[in-house]
Amino acid sequence: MGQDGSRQLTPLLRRAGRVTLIALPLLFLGLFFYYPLAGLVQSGLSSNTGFTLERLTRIFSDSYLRHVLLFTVEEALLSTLASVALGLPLAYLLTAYDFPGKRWIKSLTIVPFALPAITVALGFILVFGNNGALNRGLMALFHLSSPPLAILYSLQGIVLAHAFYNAPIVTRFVAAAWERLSPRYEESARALGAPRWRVFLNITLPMLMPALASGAALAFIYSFLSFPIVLALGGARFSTIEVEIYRRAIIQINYSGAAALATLELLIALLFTLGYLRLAARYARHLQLATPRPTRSLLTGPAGPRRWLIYAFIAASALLFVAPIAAVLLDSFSRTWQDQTVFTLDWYLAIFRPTYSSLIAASPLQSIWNSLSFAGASMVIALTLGTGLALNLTRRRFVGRSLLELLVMAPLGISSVALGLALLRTFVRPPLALSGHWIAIVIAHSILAIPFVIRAVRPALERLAPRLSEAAHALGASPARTTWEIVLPLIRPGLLTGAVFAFAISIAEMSATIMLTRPGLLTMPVAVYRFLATRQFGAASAMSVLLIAVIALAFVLIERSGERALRG
Amino acid sequence: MSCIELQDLYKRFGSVQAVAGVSLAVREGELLALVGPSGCGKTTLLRLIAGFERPDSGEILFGGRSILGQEPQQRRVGIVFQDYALFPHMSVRENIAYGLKFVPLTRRERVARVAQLLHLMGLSGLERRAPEELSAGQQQRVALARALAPRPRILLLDEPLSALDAQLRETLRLEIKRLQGELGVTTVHVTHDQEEALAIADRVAVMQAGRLEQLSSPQELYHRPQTEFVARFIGRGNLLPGTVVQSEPDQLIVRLEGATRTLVQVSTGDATSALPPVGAAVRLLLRPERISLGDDRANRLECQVESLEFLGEISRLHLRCGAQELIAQLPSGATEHWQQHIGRRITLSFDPQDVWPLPPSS
Ligand SMILES: Nc1ncnc2c1ncn2[C@@H]1O[C@H](COP(=O)(O)OP(=O)(O)OP(=O)(O)O)[C@@H](O)[C@H]1O
Ligand SMILES: [Mg+2]
Repeated sequence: MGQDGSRQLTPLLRRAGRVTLIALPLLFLGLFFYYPLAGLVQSGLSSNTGFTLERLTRIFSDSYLRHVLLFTVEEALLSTLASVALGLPLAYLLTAYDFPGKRWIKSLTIVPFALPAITVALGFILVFGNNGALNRGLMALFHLSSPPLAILYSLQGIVLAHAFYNAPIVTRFVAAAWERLSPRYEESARALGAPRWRVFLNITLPMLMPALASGAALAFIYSFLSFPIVLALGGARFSTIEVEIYRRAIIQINYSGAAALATLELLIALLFTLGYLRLAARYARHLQLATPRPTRSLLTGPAGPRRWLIYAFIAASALLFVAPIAAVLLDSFSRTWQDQTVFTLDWYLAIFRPTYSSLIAASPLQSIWNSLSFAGASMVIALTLGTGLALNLTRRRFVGRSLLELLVMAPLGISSVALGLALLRTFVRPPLALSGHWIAIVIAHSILAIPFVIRAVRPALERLAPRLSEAAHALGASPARTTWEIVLPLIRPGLLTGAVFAFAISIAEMSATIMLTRPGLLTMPVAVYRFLATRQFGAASAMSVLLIAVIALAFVLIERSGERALRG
Repeated sequence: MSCIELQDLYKRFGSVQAVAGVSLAVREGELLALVGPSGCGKTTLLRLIAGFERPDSGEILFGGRSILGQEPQQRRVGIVFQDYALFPHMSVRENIAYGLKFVPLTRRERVARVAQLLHLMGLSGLERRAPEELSAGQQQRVALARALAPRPRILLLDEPLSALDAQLRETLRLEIKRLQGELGVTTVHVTHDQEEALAIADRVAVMQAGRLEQLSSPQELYHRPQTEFVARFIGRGNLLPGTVVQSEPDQLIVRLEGATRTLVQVSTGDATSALPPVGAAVRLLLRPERISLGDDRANRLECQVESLEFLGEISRLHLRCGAQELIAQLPSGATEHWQQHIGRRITLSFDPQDVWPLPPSS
């Protein structure tokens, strides 16, 4: 009897464990993602009388908002164009040429992706601003009395900074496809009499198109939803939908107006994301088996005009990619006093001061501590929930699995400002009155990080032969023990990658944070923004360097553990 | 008259000498097959001709003029790769018409040329299809049509049949032969398959380790190989070691193991080089189908029948004379009869004209 009871109990416990593994993350996403978003959309689509499109149509009839909308599209289109113009030649260099450090450059193309946008904006101000390194250099060189280049606080500045972010994405997509493109196609065309440029236009480019289109679509989405860069580089004149949502909600305390804009933005972003997913699927289908492609050396061989063009391009991209980061680093260690630049550690001393700074309305040290603890907490939550979801998504086939996948990956395509607004609206009233609590920010970060955890853990799980856990079952281990003792240790590299991603996303996040932050809950990126807004560039730089250093450290950890996993 | 001449070509990739001093002339309108083991430099040679690689040294002449200064697109070569490399984003018609964009033709002439090729290759009705909607054989025809459309001075085929199944391969190789004959286009056809080379080529070039071993007609190559490598690579052969005991302008007498004297007769017309002198060690090539399983021919050998291999059309008898193993070919009708001889001793014989002396391998 007792035996029978336990025999019935075990499957019950198993089922309970399985259900928790999936129910907990879904509950979390339901409460803190879908419920707030539904509230947001509902308020965007309703008035006192019920459902209406009036709020949305009012956006189009308001000439200022119409202008903002058009500017957002224009800015995103130009940024995409610039990203392609920069990313495509870079992809060509990486596939057609050999040069020392090529592998380094290839892996460095993920760096912009990991950099907090606000630090990039700072770097752009320091290099391209009216008082920036470029203008000062040109003024000194040509004895000019005023800055010759007005790049910043303009459309060009925003587009350039977005290209910094998105050109490497385009490069990664295109280079991956280009390396796999069999050179026989181009050789066939040449044997048929086509000159090089015709081969590129008729053969290479069309065959790279799926990859190029996927990369460009991603660049467009990111530029469309970009917040910190436009906030910092747009000045007062240039505003996008994202910045406008922030202004309405935080500065004008006009939640319903912000909600209407956010609803519209969600709809547009949803359309683009669906378009991107279709392109990406086509791109995946077109990927070919890798064929070694002939490469030329960049350094040896005859130096024709072609080679000089390449060198010029490399110099220009180095300026774009390296100068902003270098400028931040230099600026954090220097102080300019009466045309004299001297080395100083003052800025670092300033950011480690525990006393209140009126400039950022908080103590800088507090913001460092906040960022680290929020990132730690978000990492734990996202890792736990994301791993639970990944286990379910890989190990079982069930009806509605692709729906579940869509539901849990959706935070990838969301504007962080809109998410911040949705949470803000939800948290100000019961049942979820968490407003002003640190957990509000941690929740936002966890939601943004969960898809990345799933992406990191899933491949590790898929590589894990199912036979392994079957063998453990056969030896009598319960599923829970199997998971704990066999599966988790074996996917440790994936878990570590997921954890580092979650940590890095949280610590770099500014858009949702700035919507939810309160005095005392300031984080490092928001502190950088406040320093920057009050033109405390030295302190902003020091804080940025610290932020980048923490993120870099986290990524070095991944790199190391990846190597160990390969060796072990 | 020679259409294309390669003079002392060398090409090295890092530590690999892919082509090591190849000189050969392709005659106008001929189909020259290039065979050799994997990695011997066949593809590299084609790529040198097409201009995708530059030789380290040597010269390539088209119609007597050097083309080394020309880019691939200026050389007017047609090339078909093993995987065809049909442009996947273009229809069959667009693929075939692509090369016509770069020759001075009117629109009407272009349309007519494409139609002509579609007809010639039996592709009519497929012109709107995408390459991925074609069978492997159809893809191969499209690739050929595309290469032929701009009327190249030379057609280069790099194992165009190797991706196909055996039956289709045999059909298509005859088709290539027919087409090549009809159009009279000078062709270099690279293949792994020596049978394919013998079946369709006017002349066959055998390469090994970047070198040209022999260039001659299929019959010559089969019956009178110049090196042991060629003898082993082309067809099956028995190589019998022996010593020359008597040497005359058109005949040799060789002492083989297990046979007192063997007469080797070479008609003087065949002798491309002087026959080996008395005392020289030679190997005699004896093809399996030239062995008579009886004592009715001039040269005789005593053997033991070891085993029999039934292959359908023919059967093979595995024989042993002392340390020497031999293969003899039987018509398959005789299989039953010879089955009973396994383990017995027999006498085989062959004509003096049917053995060919090879210099011993160095
Ligand atoms: N681009 C290259 N870089 C380095 N080595 C090469 C290159 N192309 C060819 N080789 C080497 O040169 C040698 C000859 O290669 P090739 O492709 O010409 O041989 P092949 O006769 O066509 O062989 P297969 O029958 O396998 O196609 C090989 O050892 C090959 O590895
Ligand atoms: Mg080859």
